[in-house]
Amino acid sequence: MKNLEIFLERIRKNDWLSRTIDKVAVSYVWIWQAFLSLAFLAAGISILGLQQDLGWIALPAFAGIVVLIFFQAASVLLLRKGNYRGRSIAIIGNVIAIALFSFMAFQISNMISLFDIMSQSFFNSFLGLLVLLSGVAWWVVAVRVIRRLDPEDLSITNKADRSFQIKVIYFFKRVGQVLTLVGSIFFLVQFNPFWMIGIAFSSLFFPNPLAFLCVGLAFFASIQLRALLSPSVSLKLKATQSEEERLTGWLFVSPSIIGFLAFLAGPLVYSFVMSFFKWDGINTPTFIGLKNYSDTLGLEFAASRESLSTGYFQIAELFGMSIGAIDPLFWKAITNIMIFLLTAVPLSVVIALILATLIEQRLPGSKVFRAVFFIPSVAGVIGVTLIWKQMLNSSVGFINYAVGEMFAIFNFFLPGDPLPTRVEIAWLSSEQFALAAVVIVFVWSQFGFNTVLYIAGLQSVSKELYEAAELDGATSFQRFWNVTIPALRPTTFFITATTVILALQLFDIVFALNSPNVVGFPNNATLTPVVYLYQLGFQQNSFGKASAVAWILFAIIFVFTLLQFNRQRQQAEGN
Amino acid sequence: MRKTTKVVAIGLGLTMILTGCAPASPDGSGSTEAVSLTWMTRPDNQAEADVYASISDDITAKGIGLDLTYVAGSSEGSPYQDKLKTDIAAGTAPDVFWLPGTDIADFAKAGLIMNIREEAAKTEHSDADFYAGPMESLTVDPDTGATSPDFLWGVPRDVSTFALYMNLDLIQAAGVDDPRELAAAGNWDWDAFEATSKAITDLGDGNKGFGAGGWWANWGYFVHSAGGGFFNEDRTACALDSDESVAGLEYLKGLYDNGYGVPFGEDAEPGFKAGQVGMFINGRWATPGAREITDFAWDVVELPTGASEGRNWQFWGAYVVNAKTENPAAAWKLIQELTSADVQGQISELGANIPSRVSADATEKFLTFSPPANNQAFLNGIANNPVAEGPLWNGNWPAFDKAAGDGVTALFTGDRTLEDFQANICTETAGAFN
Repeated sequence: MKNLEIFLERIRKNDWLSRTIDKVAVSYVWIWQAFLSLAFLAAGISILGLQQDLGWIALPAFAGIVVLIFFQAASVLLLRKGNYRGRSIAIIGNVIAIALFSFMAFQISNMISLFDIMSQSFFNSFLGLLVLLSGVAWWVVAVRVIRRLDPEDLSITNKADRSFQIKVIYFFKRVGQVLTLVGSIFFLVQFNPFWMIGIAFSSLFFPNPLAFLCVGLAFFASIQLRALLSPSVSLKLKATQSEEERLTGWLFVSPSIIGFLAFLAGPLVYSFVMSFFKWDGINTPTFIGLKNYSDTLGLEFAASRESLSTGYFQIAELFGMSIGAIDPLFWKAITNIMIFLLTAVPLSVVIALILATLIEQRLPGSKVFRAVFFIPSVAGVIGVTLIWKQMLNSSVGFINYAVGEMFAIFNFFLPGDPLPTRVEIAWLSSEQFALAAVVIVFVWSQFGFNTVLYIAGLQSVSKELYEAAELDGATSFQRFWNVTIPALRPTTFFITATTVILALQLFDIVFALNSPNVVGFPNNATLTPVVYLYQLGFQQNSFGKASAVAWILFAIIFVFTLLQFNRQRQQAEGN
Repeated sequence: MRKTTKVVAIGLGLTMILTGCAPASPDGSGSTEAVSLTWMTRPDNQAEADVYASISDDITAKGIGLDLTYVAGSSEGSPYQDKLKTDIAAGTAPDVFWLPGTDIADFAKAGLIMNIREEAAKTEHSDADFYAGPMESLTVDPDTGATSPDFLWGVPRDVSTFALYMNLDLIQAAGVDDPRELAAAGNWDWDAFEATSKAITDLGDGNKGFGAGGWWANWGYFVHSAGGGFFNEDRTACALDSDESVAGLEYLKGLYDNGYGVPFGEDAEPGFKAGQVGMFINGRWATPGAREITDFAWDVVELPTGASEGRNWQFWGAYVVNAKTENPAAAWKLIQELTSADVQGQISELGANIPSRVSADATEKFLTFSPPANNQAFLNGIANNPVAEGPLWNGNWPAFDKAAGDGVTALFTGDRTLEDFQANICTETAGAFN
């Protein structure tokens, strides 16, 4: 550690390059910013030139570039005046420049193909990696054993005087080192990193040297960013302590913000924008305003089916009125999901509460059951659903067999007409049972996780409350009803809220149970909003309408969650 | 410390030397002249995926200027077409990929696949070497929707057709004639099929006469076999409301209503494998699964003949070229290699496919790939007036599939009458046509 510190100090003292960069940056930072503005301008002009290829996206992209140029120009003026705000704007500009030019270099050089090569190389070199890791493991174990030995034994420097035991341990350490070395060489030869570096480097020049220019711009923007963050620049711009702290704070959260914007907010905004377009996912989208929303939500009330306007299909009759919808499938999906919600969520919660209470009785074997109940939560949904699909098969499924066996037992005890012992409930192919089958699989996959949450909740309930209730003469049920359930209210709220959100987003179970029939089989009895938007997007290539359905679903989930939060808050305030 | 440094230095030096001696690329193909291509197809099982990977390596090793990377394009919960569309939208789709027959039109109309006629014309390719049904759909002018010699959108990878997988033990126990003998005598028709299904169902103990899937081809066979069809002559409108189409559906509905079949839409394969389903309609792709059966004797027979003779399906998919490939000539060369008799033989040997080439050699070789013993049933299905699975050049196939599938399901589950179906089905599917 001491050596490292000395080494770092030596670097600091001799870091003439960093000091020179800082010095130049302080004086001429505005020149780079002006250059960057020109680079952005060139990028903007290129985007306009590619309008035919980029389609509608060219215009907003160009608008974004214009905004960037404006701010870059502002930063030049402010930095020239020695204004601190110019620095903040310049930092943001350089971060964007690094991201933009790196992305452009990545795209132009088709660097993505290198990832394919890398993955293939990694696969080929797996044996070497295994030897390397085994060697490291061997080495580490030997070192740990050596550390536990008597220091006196270790102090013997003459190898010949060492005991046999020490010699064996040192031999094992040496074997670990050799294995590590051999594994490293084997791995490097197979993985061939130098060859890949060569490809990456050459792809910056061929077929399009523009990639290299972009890398250069990103590199210089990095240097400039480093300089802008240096104390020299702070001093030059007379930054106050609070301004420095604010900047540092923003810099700390910036990776998270960038990640959020790129991978969460970006796609969200993109899908929201696309919900106003007619788009097949490949060709140029056409702006159609709110049509996707009106086509999805459009309802009409009429005296009879016949009097519905053209384009409206009857979805229900209410008080003698005929309700028509432009998109009956959407309303079918909404109806299904509401029925699903009302059955699956209470079952997931109640079963979990009962099981958690039983496990908390700490009966023999309860720990085993706690683990067993949790297994469905960690099992792959598609895999377990396919197993359920076999179990729910009408002719050879286990569920029908079990029902038949149960009926046989009933027949043995109960008088009257015997129940059929050969049961053929069409769980997956009849409208009456298809949604019930989905509920069964969903509840099965959810209750284990909820049980664990309830167990955690139960363990936090104060024992004094139970003792006080017992002293007051409360029975077991009264204690459960009047102590346990109120005390678990926050846990119940959390479980209900998360299960409702999961239920509203139901897709994978339905998809796997339906395959290879049309989605929503039979007769849309299992069609859910997410299944419907998948069908719109990936099967009918209507990505615009699929986006609109996604946002409508978001609104529904938002309202549900808001209502639950309000109710929880009211209950908490009532207490 | 110095010793360790020396060892590390020697190690690194050795590594660099060995790296220099290593092949130029990790897959062992280092020819600078070879064109790098990526290709993707959908294997039916792991064994098929392994054979495709081996074929890819073999073509690369032939040294014909192709350096191939094979992508097995299917994964659990991620259907092949979904992944392909995402790849295309992202601009990372392979140079050559397989497409199901029904999707050719959508991809061609969107400009995603290349018309390879020009490349094909430079070689000795002949459309006549392949089955006519698929080639007709692959040579359509997207603007007119009519076939044109100027267009070639791909070459069929393989073909398949439906057959009836039979539990011979159940048929014998039911005391009915062997359908293979009935077929040989020309008596294997809908009446015989119904009688056999009834006899097997009457055995009781949960046995069912027949089983079929719920997707379009299953009920579609009965529509075609009754003389009806999905589309009108030029495939510009729905024809499911014709009397013939409705008659086919009525017959199948009757079988379901009488309880002779595994409920509509239920997976019949587990029941068949468990020995409780007498006849099971499926394609050649079900053969590898059927080969696992050891508890009873099984074989296949042609589908029964309805009012209109033959009319089995001819399923197919084709290798197509990505419109954005930088090497159309190399891509075409790859397609030629992938559809050669030798490669088709290797794939067919696994049991799930039938070669798409019309040649005596390919046919004779296919007949040797048993069980089933009666491989001829598949060839008869293809030869006897089949309906080629076809793209909808004047509409949107997935939209038609969804609307028609919903309509037919409602019919079979008793949620609508035949009259209602006939009166409204073509209105319900109208949105699928241009």
